[in-house]
Amino acid sequence: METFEINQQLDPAMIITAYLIYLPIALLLTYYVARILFKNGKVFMIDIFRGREEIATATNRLFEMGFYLLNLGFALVILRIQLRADQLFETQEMIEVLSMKIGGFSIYLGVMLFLNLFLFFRGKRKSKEHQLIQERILSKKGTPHFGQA
Amino acid sequence: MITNYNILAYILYGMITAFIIVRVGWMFYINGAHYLYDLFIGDKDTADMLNRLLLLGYYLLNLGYVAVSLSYWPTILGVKDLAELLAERIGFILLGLALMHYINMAWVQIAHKFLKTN
Repeated sequence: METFEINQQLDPAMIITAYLIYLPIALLLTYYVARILFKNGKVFMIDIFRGREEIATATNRLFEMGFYLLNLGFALVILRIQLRADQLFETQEMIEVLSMKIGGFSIYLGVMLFLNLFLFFRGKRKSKEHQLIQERILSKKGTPHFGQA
Repeated sequence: MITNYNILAYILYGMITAFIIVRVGWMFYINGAHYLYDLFIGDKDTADMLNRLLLLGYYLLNLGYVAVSLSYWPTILGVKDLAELLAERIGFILLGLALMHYINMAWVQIAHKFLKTN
């Protein structure tokens, strides 16, 4: 994984500039998406847990933490810019590489957003099913059954 | 005389990951308590015990991994490499934490279903 080719035309300052541009953008994007998702998700959670606010907030916080861990981890792991031995890294290269990284990360965040939305909806459906089953049980208890103890 | 940036890297890496692990672990403990109480309705003792065990295992595993991984760093000769390696390794820890978190949530659910039907 680690290559030790020495790139003659590599200016470390340029690469570090690229990192200093990429990192805040990636972190801010993650923060922004997480904020929107889990601020609105709280309402969903309260609905899924049928009004129990404490457990809803706790579960929301748990999912939020998982989201942050996963996405910040991913943003950091893909930070590294690996260049071939003969490749230049001037302004043009930097713009191209940064667009690739930031764009790719945005797409990934979008996928994560939709995945989490899907999980929210699935949770709501499951909770609705549970509710219906419970109502059915309760309504059945009311009607007399002949031939049963 | 500074020959390489490794010691600086170890200090930064150790401090940042220790802070993240301890803080995140504690937040999981606090929020997980509510989650577990809901799962093990009425059985508060099992929930507490499970929560404590998860926290202990979590600390052992993660802090231990950080300590062991210090021996496996390459020699860092420049600031660029320092930044890259730090980002990569810390990101890896975060991904590992996320994985562990989701697996824990999943198997606690499964364990609950299993215990419920028995």
